[in-house]
Amino acid sequence: MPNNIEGAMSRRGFLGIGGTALVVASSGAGVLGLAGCDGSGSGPSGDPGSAARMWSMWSEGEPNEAILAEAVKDFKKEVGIDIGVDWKGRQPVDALLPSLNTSNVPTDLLNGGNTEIVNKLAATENAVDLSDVYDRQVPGEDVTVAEAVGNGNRIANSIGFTEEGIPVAVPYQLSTFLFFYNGRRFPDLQDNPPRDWDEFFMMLDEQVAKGRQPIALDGSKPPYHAWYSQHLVSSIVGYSGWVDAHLDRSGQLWREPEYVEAARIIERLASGGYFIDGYDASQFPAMQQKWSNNESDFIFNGTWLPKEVKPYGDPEAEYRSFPFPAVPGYEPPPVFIATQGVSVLSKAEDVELAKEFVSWMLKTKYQEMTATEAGEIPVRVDVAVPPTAEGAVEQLSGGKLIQSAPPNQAYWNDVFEVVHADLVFGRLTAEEYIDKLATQSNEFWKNHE
Amino acid sequence: MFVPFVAPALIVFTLIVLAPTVFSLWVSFNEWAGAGPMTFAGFANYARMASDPVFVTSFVNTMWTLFGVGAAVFVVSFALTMLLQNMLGRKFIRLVIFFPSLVPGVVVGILWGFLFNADGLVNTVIGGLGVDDPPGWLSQEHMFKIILLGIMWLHTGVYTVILMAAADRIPRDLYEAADLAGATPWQRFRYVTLPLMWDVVSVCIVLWCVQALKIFEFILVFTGTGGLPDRGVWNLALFSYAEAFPTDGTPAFGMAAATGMLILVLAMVFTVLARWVLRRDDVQY
Repeated sequence: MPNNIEGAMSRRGFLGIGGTALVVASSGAGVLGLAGCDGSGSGPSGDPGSAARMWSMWSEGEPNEAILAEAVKDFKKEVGIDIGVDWKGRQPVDALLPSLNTSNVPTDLLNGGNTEIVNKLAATENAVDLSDVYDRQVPGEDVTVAEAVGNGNRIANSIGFTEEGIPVAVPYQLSTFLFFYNGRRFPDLQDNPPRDWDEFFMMLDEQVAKGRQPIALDGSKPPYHAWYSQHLVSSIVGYSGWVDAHLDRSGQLWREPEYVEAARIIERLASGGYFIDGYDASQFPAMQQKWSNNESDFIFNGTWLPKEVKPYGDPEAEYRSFPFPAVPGYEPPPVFIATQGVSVLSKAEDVELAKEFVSWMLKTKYQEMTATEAGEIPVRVDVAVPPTAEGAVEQLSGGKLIQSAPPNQAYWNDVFEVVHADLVFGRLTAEEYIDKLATQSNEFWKNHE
Repeated sequence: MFVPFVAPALIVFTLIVLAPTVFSLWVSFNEWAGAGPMTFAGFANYARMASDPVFVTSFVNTMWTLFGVGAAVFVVSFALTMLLQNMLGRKFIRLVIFFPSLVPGVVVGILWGFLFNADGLVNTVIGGLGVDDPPGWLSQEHMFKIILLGIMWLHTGVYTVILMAAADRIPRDLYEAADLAGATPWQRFRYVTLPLMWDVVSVCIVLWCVQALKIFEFILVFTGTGGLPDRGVWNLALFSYAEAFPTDGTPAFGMAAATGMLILVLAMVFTVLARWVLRRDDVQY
């Protein structure tokens, strides 16, 4: 994700100026200085003369950029409204925050991850309530936004809503998490995926017996290994049990036998030689590169993975997927998803005009392009998912969909991911991990009351 | 009378240094997401520092960088200065030593990640030498040590060049006199070189104190995750950045500003301390 680094470096450049005083300044008022730079809003395709402006999380050259650009072009042609887009790259809200303190906000619309929109834009009271947009028709089609995005369709319409239940974003595509494999090497798996971990371990053991290390994992990305527990625990105690343990101020809920049972599966993976060598000591994306070149068999990742490995992976590979297996004797885990959508800023020059575009991305044409061009899952259920994500179809249509964002981001980052690394890297047994997690959870909540 | 002469500089300094610093101080006493309402929190952000294990790790790592890497950088720089003082081709060697300082830390951070990957160049060489199970350099146990090594490698060149320049201006006859008196190499360094370049050494150490507290991009890119690296390798600058720009959570500019204020205080304290400890009477020559 080069744009993350680019963004970070521009801020580092600022941090580095003029000694320690500005190190401090960077934390607060210093960033205000950036507002002026960003405020021009004149990115490569950002036209200062546009009727409305949009900051996008995509970068030029990405498939998703092409889809959004096509939508903007059509919008101008068919509706007569010109949207100037600045391709900001990932996490555009970070760059936008300083300017939100001024009257000169450089964009009217924001295209980004819904979690980011809710946690950063809405949390700072800068996102418009889009309730009325959900009541509107998708332009030129016989379906409302609420019907396209809403319950009974691919995602629940609570995605993109604040804790108070206010819709601040309209999602147009989603990602979910699946085990990926090369369909050429495992042609039977598509029809017969492992339904639970007993079946999966049998498959894995067969691969180990052949001298393979069947699971690739980039352990340097903490969420990549934490997703395992997210799914295992949710399979056993349900999503509510997962949330309850995260938010338990005493930390003692983690000691319940169900949580230990989930941890034992990861302990078995770590100690059984299932993970590829170097999973605990490499720089991302080294392990997924190995997997994409058939050095390992399976990888648990997001639906963006096939697109990500395409430049360096086996050109003959046909990536296919299956859902995270259930813990034996329990239900399959819920479907965790991440979504991307469009929101309108409170300080938009013309809120109504900006709202016009929000539902535009739900038109069938762009939904189809989302699957065919970007390889991501469109939110509309009447549009086919890409072949690489077909493993998710059954789940998406019948499963319980949950926004993948952790119940408490700070706890997830500072405690759960950190302690979980000890388990997945084989430094702690399941019991030791549970003990450490319970203790550190309690300490965390004491400091965050 | 002097006001018209000082005013432009004073205005600029106030606008780009003093005002943001004062504002940051104010923000550090608040909870604020970077925009929207600000809630006064008193000393809560500062109180959280001592009990937040991520902050404590970041603080300890910063001290390792400041003192551990600092000591190594100066020991190696002095050693190279002495080694190269009378060597043929020293200008070329000086250029080679200085080269890492010309390469952006970002580039070095990314490349070092590749070098030290589980099957990277380093382990390939070690494996070629017959070691069956080479270390996982980028594992959580070793990653911070490799980062410290990288920071040392990045900064040694520039301090070596500065110290060599200082050593070059010492009159040769002082060394000849030392030789005639039967001085050993260590005695030449201890009684001639070091005292006569002490003012430069003192400035270098102050520069390092400030520089070490601000190291940021090398650590950020080292793990190549495209996000924030493992918390075990964070320093205070990275902690401050992560509080202000979390991956998905709500920004905590108050905590970020409080950490920034701590960095400022540390920089001032260490600078004053270094100047005080290193003070010497000027040697005229």
